[in-house]
Amino acid sequence: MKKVEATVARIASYIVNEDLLPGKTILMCVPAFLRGVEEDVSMVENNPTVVIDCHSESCGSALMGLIGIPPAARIYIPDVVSQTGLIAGKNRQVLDPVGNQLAQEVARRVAKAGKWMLEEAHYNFEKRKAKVIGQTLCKFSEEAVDSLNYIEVEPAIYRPKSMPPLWDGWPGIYER
Amino acid sequence: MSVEKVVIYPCGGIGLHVSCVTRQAGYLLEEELLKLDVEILDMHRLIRGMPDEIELVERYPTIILDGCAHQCGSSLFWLLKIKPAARIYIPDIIAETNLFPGRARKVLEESGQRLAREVALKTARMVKGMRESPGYHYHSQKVRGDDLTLCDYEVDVEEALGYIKIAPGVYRPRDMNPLPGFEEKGTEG
Repeated sequence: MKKVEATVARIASYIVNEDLLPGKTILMCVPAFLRGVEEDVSMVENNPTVVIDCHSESCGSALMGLIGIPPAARIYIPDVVSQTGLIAGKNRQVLDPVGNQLAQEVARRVAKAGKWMLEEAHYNFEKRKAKVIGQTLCKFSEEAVDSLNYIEVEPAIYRPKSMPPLWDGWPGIYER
Repeated sequence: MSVEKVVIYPCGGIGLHVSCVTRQAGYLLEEELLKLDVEILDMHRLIRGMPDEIELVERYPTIILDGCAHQCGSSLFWLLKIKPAARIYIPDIIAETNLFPGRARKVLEESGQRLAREVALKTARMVKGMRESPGYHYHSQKVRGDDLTLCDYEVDVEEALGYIKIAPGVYRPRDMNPLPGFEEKGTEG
């Protein structure tokens, strides 16, 4: 939450949750997950997760790698910035207009991935249990993210190699 | 000056409206009220293992802003075997002030903004006491992040951290330093 990009990710999540896919998405609260709040544990175990990574530290992806639940997709904000030329702006409390535009672009990509998972009959998500025993936090490791073996689905949208294809699995047919 | 800096840990949640209040309070403290005296803790970077974030919670006293009854901020500190210097519990502040987080998460409504400011002002008073009272001391702690059991809701966090109530919405672990400005005679509340 130190960087403005964190506010961009937060606002993008609200745009998806309230405006683009209302009633079809839930927001994972990381502190509540670690606490063991049942709703937050079961939502990531039983549903595909889209991670929004704000920057190269990739905290969201690393946590999912750590608990053994690969995200179904990942939106990488630095790529959205390069692709669109939009920046996060300077205001963390309330985003600047340009930051809001960036949040809209991030949200659009999250919703695209989410909509695919919700609507495609081929999409096959397998439930997984989170690894919660004998865990290590606060130890930086590249491995946590590298182990996900992300492949690019389209600019700024990735999925772990081990997870079901999105539209990248159906080139030329399902591109939208 | 007793401590160089105080760390503010807004709970870091996203779903509940009150998480926007703790975040806003953190930004008010860092950007407006106490620019050089405080630094916000980013819990996502902490659990990721970023060295600057770990150093922050080890070296400086932390005030946790727990947004809801799950007390996730306090829970994370318990999990990592460190103690906050103090904790502000937002449900108590809501009861005290009759201000509510409101229904808007993207930008807080008037009531949510006022609640965030109340939280920030109470926290600022605590920070000033820690920074300015010669009697206030903080001993550095060590984060222990190995061999953890995550998602264990059975733990009674308030008991595990030994919280005692100092004033409405203000708590500290029993074995941490008394809070200047809150615990001297005639200054409670």
